[in-house]
Amino acid sequence: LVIKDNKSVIYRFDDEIEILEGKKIKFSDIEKEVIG
Amino acid sequence: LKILDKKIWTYEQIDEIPEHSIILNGKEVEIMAASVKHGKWVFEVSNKLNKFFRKKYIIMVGEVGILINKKPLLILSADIVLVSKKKLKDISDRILEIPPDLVIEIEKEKEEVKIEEKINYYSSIGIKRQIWVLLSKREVLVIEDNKSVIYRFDDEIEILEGKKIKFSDIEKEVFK
Repeated sequence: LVIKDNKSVIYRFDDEIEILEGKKIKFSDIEKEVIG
Repeated sequence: LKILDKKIWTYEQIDEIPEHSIILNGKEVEIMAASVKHGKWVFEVSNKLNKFFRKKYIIMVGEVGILINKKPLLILSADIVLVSKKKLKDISDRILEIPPDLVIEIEKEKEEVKIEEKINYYSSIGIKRQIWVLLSKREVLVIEDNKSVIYRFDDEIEILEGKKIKFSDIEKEVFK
C-alpha cells in the first residue's frame, strides 16, 4: 500500500514500485532475499 | 520499565503475544522508541555485516524476539542478530527459540532492561558472542564464553570468523 499526497494505491509484490526519486523495487525480489 | 498489562503470558500463548513486545516474567513490557542516532547505527552496522556474512548467516534487525525462558516466560529483543543458515532453516513468523551465534546491541539512552541483566540473560541461553556498542563511552564490550573485553572505537574488533571492524569507521558513516 503506497500513500502519497493523500492518494493510496495498492500494488502486488510483482509490481515495480517507486520508493523515492524514481528508484523502483520489486518486493518479490526482496522476498526472494528474505526466504533465501 | 513500564509494564503494559497485568496479564501473565505463558509459553503456550507465545504466538498471541503482540509484536514488538518484550516479556519479563510473563509480563509485557513497553519498548521505548529508539532515537534517530540509534536507528542509523543499527543500519550502518548491519549494512557492514551484510557484506561479510550474508552467505553463511541469516542477518536480522529490528528488535528480533529471542526466547530466554519458558517458565516464567521471558522474551527479549535484540538490535542485530546473526544465526548460521545451517542452524536456522525456516524464515518463520515466530521468535527465535535457538541461541543466535551473535547478538549486537547498540546502547540506547533509555534501556528497558539493564545492560548487565540482558548480558546475563543472553549468556544463560548460550549465545556464543555478544557485542555491545556503548555509544556514551565510545567503547565496545565483547562477551564470549563468559569472558568480557572492552575495546575502544579505534580498535579493530573481530566480529565473527576473523572478520574485523573498526567502530570508528562505522561512526563516520553514521554521521556522514
